[in-house]
Amino acid sequence: MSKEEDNKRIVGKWFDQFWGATFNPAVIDELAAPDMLLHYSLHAPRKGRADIRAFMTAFRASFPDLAFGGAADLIAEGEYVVGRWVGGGTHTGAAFGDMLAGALPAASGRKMRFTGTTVLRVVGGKIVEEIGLDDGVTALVQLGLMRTA
Amino acid sequence: MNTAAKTGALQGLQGLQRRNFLQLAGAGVGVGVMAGPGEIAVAASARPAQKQARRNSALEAANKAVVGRWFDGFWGPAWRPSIIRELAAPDMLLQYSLHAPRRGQADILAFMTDFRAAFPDLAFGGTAPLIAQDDLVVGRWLGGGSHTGAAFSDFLAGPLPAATGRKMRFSGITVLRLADGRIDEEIGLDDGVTALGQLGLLKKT
Repeated sequence: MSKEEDNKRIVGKWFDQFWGATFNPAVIDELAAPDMLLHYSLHAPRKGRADIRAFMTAFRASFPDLAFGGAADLIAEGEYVVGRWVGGGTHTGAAFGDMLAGALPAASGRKMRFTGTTVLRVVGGKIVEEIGLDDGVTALVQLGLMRTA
Repeated sequence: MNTAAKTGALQGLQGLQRRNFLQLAGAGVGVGVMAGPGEIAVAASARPAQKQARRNSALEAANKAVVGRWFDGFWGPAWRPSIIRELAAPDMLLQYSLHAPRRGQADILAFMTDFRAAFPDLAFGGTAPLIAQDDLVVGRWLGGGSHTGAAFSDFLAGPLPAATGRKMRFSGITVLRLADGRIDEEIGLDDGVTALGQLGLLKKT
């Protein structure tokens, strides 16, 4: 089993249990490096396990059906794994202030469904960095936070 | 969002189906956690789970070299139209999230000719080493240009009249698929929030 195949398994498990339909908070202690960086273009960067747990807890309190999944094969070389994904959720929960573009009042009922590409770096079996580009134009227009001019 | 943008977004999603990442990683474990109703599928370009553990190092190095030349000659500051005949497959697909998809050498030449007529100083460059596996190469990039030229109507979000003087500078990630030393497919995600905001085509509500 090559290092790349190991890293893909780690990222596959992470995406399923962190980003998938059923959130398993224990996956953070299992697979995130203690000082992991999580940075997606829609959100402010997060650093460390506690901050990353707070991010996902708040995201799912606002979007209880949040779920993302793979859209194509993972691509791996060396420490890097690249994932392409699609997903979203319905804003039926708490007010949400973690989009850089603006805040949503509670239970707006708006739905987002968008794609993205993420590059993760895995060292010693732990994810040290997850940097993703969201299709923010799609998500933010759907959420009513931005509009085309 | 205008009709063209909606259509583009739909086209972008129609080929996609959600799959479990463990399956994508080749683990063969179908935990079935992904899916909401009606959300299951396989990307149009997706291949069977990769079973091979052996690396195609020579192929990957050669493919990276091709992509490096392509990024320089097609996307770099020194645009060289002949790069298309050199490195693009005859029916190459070029698809970025800001634009409608293009297919074939002539369509791709028209895309870049128009883009540079509107943004004469257009230039993009790599921001991190290329990542390659088998026939795929992933590039991360940054760049942009100043809209000092022709009117431009090739953004899905809306048209620009001539010479607005607006500048865009944004990043993105692109996945390219190669075959026999040529680029078959180039699918990129632009940081459209940044670019369209700078161009005045996207506004906060």
